[in-house]
Amino acid sequence: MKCDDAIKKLSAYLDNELKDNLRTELENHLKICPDCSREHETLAGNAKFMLTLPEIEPSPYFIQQTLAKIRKTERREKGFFTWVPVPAMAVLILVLLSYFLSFSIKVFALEPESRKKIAGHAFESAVKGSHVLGHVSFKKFCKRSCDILCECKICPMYQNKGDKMIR
Amino acid sequence: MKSKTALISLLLGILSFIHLFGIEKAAMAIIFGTIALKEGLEDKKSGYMAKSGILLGLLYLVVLTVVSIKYFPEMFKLIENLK
Repeated sequence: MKCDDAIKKLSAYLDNELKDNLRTELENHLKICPDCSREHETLAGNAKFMLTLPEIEPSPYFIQQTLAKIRKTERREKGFFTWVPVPAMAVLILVLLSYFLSFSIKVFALEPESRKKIAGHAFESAVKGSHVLGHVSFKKFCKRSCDILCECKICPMYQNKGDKMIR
Repeated sequence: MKSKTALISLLLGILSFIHLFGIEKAAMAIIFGTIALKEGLEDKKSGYMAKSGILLGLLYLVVLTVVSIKYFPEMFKLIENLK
């Protein structure tokens, strides 16, 4: 038995609440460990001292007042916030995943050239708003992406020639 | 459970490998907020924080769903045209 376990079980040992095997194990440990033995003597001394103190009569309605205070501190939320969010989240995630999954399946069924067109269209939709944030940074971002697919049609750096942008 | 922050750390570490448009973060916000409210909170401020987390997570999912419903049919049409 390790010292951490022995210290935790001392209280139950003093109250005779330990099972026989654990009791024996703890007693064997107390015989060989001076720190735990000292801790046991301190606890046993405290317990004996407590028994010598006079019994105190609790005030009237002590139990009721204590329970009322406990109920006041335990702010267990009931209603909308405990029952609605998780099912709503599950429904929304199912809807989103069904869209993403069906979209992915349809895209992967396409030819590579067609997939590239889809990627270009999606990229165009995604970056359309970003040029208002910074003209220079937008150009840098767009140029990097247009090295891969020059079909964005919105980058001011490039000349327009038919459907494709060339540098 | 001894340490809830240790569990949160583990869950976030696992979620680092999942990228689903932020859905995983919204889900975690809702789940942890609901757990916090069901366990009972000692002060009002913590309650407001948990409720705010839940509402923000739900708001994000609603916005993402609305955007998907609006834009995915166009993408599906594009795919049909490309076939």
